[in-house]
Amino acid sequence: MNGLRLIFRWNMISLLKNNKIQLGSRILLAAVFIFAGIEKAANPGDFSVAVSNYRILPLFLINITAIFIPWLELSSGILLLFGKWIKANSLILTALLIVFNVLIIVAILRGLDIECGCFGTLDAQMVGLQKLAENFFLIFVGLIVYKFSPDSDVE
Amino acid sequence: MSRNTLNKVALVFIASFLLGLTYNFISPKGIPLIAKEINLKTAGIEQLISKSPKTETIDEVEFASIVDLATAYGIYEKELAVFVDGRDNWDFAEGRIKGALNIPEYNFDDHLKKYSAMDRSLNYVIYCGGEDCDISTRLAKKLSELGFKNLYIFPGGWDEWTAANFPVEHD
Repeated sequence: MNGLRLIFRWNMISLLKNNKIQLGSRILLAAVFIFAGIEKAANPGDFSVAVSNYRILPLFLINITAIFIPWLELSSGILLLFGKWIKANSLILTALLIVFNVLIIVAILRGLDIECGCFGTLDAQMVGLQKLAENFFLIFVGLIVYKFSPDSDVE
Repeated sequence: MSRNTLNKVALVFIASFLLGLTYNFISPKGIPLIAKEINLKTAGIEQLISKSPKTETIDEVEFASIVDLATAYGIYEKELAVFVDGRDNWDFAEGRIKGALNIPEYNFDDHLKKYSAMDRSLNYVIYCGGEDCDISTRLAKKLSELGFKNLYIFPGGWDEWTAANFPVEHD
């Protein structure tokens, strides 16, 4: 039994290390964040409204956050797309997704009926379980990239 | 998680922060680093009855006034203003304050001509779903940028209106 389990485990790991899966996951994660980042970076005013809707940050942090986060998504996404600093950038994007999901859960628990602001004003998607599920999927993708990418960070 | 990785994370953070600040500084759509609190004053019905046109300059902070449920209903009964529903046309079709006009906020910019042609001497009471939605605030701001001055936001919106069993209609 232990032998079987070991073989299964080894197979899963080699699957996740597979170049095509790695590349696909990387491109998916990067594309989502580049797309999301551009729209929000271009309209910091709209994004600051979305940030304030979550009613978590104090007023003085809202605009700074709205200015900073889209550019973090954008630069990290671009670097990841081109395979630069894969571990660092997949770590950043996965961490962002985890933070976003915590914020979404808090918003749902508080009964806030707000737009998620995830892709700027391009989508009017509301905060809800669907968004949560999408993000969990992307977190999974991000972890595959982080954990099983060839360690390009060691130079 | 190696130290090397963390150093790179820090570098990306710093670079993004500087990029964001720079872009925000040069972009015409840039925003102040610290947000100003929007402090809209609450209006009573007499403000609409007196019909004294607002002459003071409307600055960014005061582009509209707030009305509560009772005032909103008073305005409705006396027909002192046009009610504007800022939600999308599907929500609007499903149910709205009786006689309300639909100006969906999300595609406002696509119909600027139409909205610019509206009567600026009228009062407008803008509402959306309820307390949690900020559509009406955004819409009021956009209308004020078009030069509308007699703007009132009814934050209670659809939720409060229906809870009070006030007149509604639907398609």
